[in-house]
Amino acid sequence: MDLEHAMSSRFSLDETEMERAARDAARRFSQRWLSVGREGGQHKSLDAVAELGLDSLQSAAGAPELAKLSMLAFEELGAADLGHAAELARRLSSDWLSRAGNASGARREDHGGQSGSDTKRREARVPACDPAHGHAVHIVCAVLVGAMRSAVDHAFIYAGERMSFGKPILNHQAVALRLADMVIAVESATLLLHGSACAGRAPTRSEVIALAAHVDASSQLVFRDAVQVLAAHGYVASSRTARWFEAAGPIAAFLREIAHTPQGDQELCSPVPETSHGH
Amino acid sequence: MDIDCERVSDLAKERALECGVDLDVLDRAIGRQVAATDQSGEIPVEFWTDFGAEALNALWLPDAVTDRPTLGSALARAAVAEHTGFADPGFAIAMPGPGLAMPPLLALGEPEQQRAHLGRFVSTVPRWGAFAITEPGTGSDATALRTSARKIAGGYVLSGEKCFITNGARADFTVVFATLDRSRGRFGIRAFLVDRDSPGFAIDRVEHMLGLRGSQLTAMSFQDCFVPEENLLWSKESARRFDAFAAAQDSWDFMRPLLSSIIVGFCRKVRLLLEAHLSEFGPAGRLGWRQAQVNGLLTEIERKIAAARLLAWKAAAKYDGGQPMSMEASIAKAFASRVAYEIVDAAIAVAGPSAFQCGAPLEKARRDAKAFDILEGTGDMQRMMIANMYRRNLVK
Repeated sequence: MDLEHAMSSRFSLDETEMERAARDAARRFSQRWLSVGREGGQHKSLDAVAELGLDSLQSAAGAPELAKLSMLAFEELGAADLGHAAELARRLSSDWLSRAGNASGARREDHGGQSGSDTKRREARVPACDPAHGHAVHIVCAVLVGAMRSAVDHAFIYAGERMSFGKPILNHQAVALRLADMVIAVESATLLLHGSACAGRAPTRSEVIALAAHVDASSQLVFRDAVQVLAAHGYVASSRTARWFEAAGPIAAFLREIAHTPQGDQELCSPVPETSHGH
Repeated sequence: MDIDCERVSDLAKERALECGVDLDVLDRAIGRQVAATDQSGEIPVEFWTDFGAEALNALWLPDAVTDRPTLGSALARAAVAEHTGFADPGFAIAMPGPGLAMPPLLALGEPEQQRAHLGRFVSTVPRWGAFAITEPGTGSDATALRTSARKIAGGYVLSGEKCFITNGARADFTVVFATLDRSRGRFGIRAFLVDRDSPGFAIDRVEHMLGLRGSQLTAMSFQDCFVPEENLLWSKESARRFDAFAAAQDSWDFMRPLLSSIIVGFCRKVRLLLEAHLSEFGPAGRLGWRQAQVNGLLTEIERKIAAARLLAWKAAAKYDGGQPMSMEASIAKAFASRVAYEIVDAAIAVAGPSAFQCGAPLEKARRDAKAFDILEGTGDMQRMMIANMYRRNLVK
C-alpha cells in the first residue's frame, strides 16, 4: 500500500480528534486575541502567539501531524480576522527568516499601536523573501486559505437567503457557477497548502513557488467574487466581504512576489528540472 | 511536489507491472499508433501484437472476478491513468476493459451476473464494456431519458436511441439505461445489459469528432430490441437500497477522478512540448519575451497541474474510503478540464502559427483538450452540481 500512502498522505479525509481540538483552540484563542486587540493590547497578544506558533512550527518541520495542526490553527486565525492574522503571519515570517539567518528577508518592525487594517501599507514593502524559507510562506498561505473558506461559506449563506425573481439567487445559474469556481479555488488551495506543509520534509523551491502562485490566484478570485455575490451589500466598506477584499490585496501581492522570485540557479528557459516523468 | 510525484510515478509503474502491464512499454506502443488512431479512431491491429490485451482487459476488475492481480484501489487506478493520459488521452479512454459499465454492474447486478459478465474480460483478445445513458434529446438532464423498456414474457423490449457512447462500437456489451414508465421520473429507470449481437440492436455510426478520436463516440439504436430477463440489472439487494439512476452516479464517481488523472497526464505532456519549444528557441522565440515571462508562464502551468493532480487524488482517496465524493469528483474534473485548455492555449501562444503545422502535436492537443470540458458532464453541469452539493454540506 506504499503507492496509496504516498498519494493520500498529502491530505486527510476526516478531521482527527487532535485536529478538531487544534481548530477549537485556535478559534477560542482568536476570539480572546481579538478582544484583547480591541482594548489596545494587541501587540502583546501578538507576541504571545508568535512564540506559540513559531515553536510549534519549528518542531513541526519533521512531523507532518504537527504541521497540519499548526496550519489549521493559522487557518482559523485567518478565518476569524484576516487583517489581524496577516499581521501575525508577517511577524512570524520575519521571525522565522531572521532565525533562519536570512538577512534580506528578516526585518522586525515596530507594530505598536497599529491595527490589523493598517497591514496593507506595510505589507506592500515586504522585502523579497527567498522561497526556500517555505514555512513562512506556509503561514501566510494558511491565514489566507482560512479566510477564503470563510468568504466562500459567507457567500453561500447569503446566496441561499437572498431572493430575486422569486428564488434564492443561488438558484440562478450565473450565481451558482461563480460560487462553484470559488469552491474549486479554495479546495485546490487547501490541498496544495496541506500537501506542501505536511509532507514531513522541507518544501522544495519550485513547490513553494507553485503554492504561492496558486494561493495568490485563488484568493484573488475568491475575495473578488465574494464581493460580487453580495453585490452592493458586499461592497459597503464595513461588510465582511469588503474587509476581506481589502486585507487580502497586500497578502496576495506578497505571495506573488514569492511566485516571481527569479530562479537563478536554473538554466535559462527550463526553470522546472524535467525528468522522464515530465515533472 | 516534484520529488514525491516522481515516487508516486515509480510506485504506479511497479503496481502496474505486478498486474502484467509495463507502463513504459505501453507508452511506446501507444506512441507508435497515436497518429493513425487520431486519423481513423481505430486502434490498429499492430497495437495488439505490440502489447497483449490480456492484462489490459483485467486491469480495473474487482478482485472477486479474476485470479489476476488487480490495481486494487481508485488511487492506484488514478496513478496509472495519469501515465496513460500522458501517453495519449484518446488512447487512455480507448483502453479495453469494462470501463463505465462496471460500476452499475457491481451496484445493481446479482453476484452471478457480475461473475458472468465481468468474467468475459478474462481474455486474450481485447474486450470493452460501454455505458449508455445520453440520448440525442437528453444530455446532462439524464433523468429525462426517453429510451423505453416494455416488459414481455421472458424479458424486456427496448426502443430508442443513444448517442455519444464511449467505445460503443467496439464494446462486447453495453449497459443501457431505459425507462419502464416515464411518469415515474428517475424511479422508472432501469439498467439493462445489452449484448452487441442482440436482435434489434444496431450501431448506427461512430461520430467523427474534433479530437479524442480513439474513444469512438458511438450512436446506437434499439428497435424492439429483446433483452432477456437475466440481463436486467436489478438485484434484490439493489431494489431495496437504490434506484437505478443512483448507479449511474456510481459510474461517474468511479470515472471522474480517473478522467481527471488522464487530463493531468495530458497537461504534463503539453508542458513538455512547451518546454521543448522553449529550450529550442529560447524566450527570443517570441518577440519581446524575456526570461521572467517564461518563468511566470511555467510557474502558472506548474501550479495548475499540481492542484489538478491533488484534487483528482483526493476524490480517488474518498472513493476508496467509501465516502461520498461526488462533489470532489466534480471539482477535480471541472478544474482539470479548464486547466487543460488553458495550458494548451498558453503553449500555442508561445509556439505561434507553427503550432498548426500539419502533424504538430499542439494542434492535436488543442482538439483533444476541448473534449475534456464536455465529456462525462460539461463543466457548467459540474459547477451546478458543486454549488448544490456545497450548499447541502453547509446546511448540514
